[in-house]
Amino acid sequence: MIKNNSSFKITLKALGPVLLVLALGGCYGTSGIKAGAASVDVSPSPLPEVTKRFRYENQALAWDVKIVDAKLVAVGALMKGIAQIQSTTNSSLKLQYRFTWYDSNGIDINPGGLPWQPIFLHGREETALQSVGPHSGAKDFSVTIRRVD
Amino acid sequence: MKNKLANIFLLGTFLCTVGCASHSKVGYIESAELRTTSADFGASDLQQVAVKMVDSLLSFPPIVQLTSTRRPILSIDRVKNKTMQHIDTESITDQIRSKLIQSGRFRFIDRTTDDAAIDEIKTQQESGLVKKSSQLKFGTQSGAEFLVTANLSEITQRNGDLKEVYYKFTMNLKNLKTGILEWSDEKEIRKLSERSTFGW
Repeated sequence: MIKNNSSFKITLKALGPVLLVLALGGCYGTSGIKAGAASVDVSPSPLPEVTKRFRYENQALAWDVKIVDAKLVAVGALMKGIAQIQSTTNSSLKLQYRFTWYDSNGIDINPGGLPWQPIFLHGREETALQSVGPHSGAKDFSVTIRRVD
Repeated sequence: MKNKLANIFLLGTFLCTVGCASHSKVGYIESAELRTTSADFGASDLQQVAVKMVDSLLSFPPIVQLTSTRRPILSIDRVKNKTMQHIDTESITDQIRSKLIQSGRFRFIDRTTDDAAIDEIKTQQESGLVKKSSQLKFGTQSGAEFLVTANLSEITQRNGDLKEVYYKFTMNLKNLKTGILEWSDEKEIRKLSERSTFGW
């Protein structure tokens, strides 16, 4: 009996540090912050009229780039589109974006498309993508975002 | 045996030569595509510059106010190329001018076609072919109120196989009556190229 108790104590002593490390690792895992994944976000989801203005070239990008807001602002007789996005990862993202402008009938007024623009989002960075409508007939916009290798 | 080895060697050399022969592939790509094929100033850089400059000018509050009641007349000067590269800077000014005209906020004067315009008016007046009521007179054209000037500069740094190029495009809008710079903005582009150790 005494022998068994001693061996149990020795085993516990040996396993102690291992158990401690596992416990700490478990605590870290439940903090909600993981590299490469979205952090716990309690902010309300963007409204449908905001999300309809965003397009991702592939849906996987939606995990890394969060839509914050999208709005139209009058600049004299022209409209300015502002799309706010935020990185949800800790690492930098190399992206490109392109605005598409529509007239009051929802038709693309520049079918060739405005040129793609590069943007670099650092970890958790928020930024505003902006574009001025080509002419006064441009009434609404959408922005397409894609990842670059 | 020796002949066999020689034949195998020749065959191998032949196959390598054929395999290494360059195969060119040609196809259309989207004109708005953003590609970096080299650190030199390219089409994508030109497009980025034009978009930035036009958006900036159109949304600058004093310019918005100026263009709210009328369409000012602009003239655009050739871009000063301060880089070491041969760049068709007229393409940059052409694209900027087109976008500004399409915005409906500005009108432009084109001095590059003055000789052709003078020839046309002279022909109308002197040839006897055009009826007097339709003939244009000299001295009736509008003058520019503002002048758009720009320059493109470059800083290159090399370190072994790494080459970093920094471009800065600066554009200004000058009031020809007062001499005041009513608007100014710049677009910076930075490109990094790395030459691979193997290959060509």
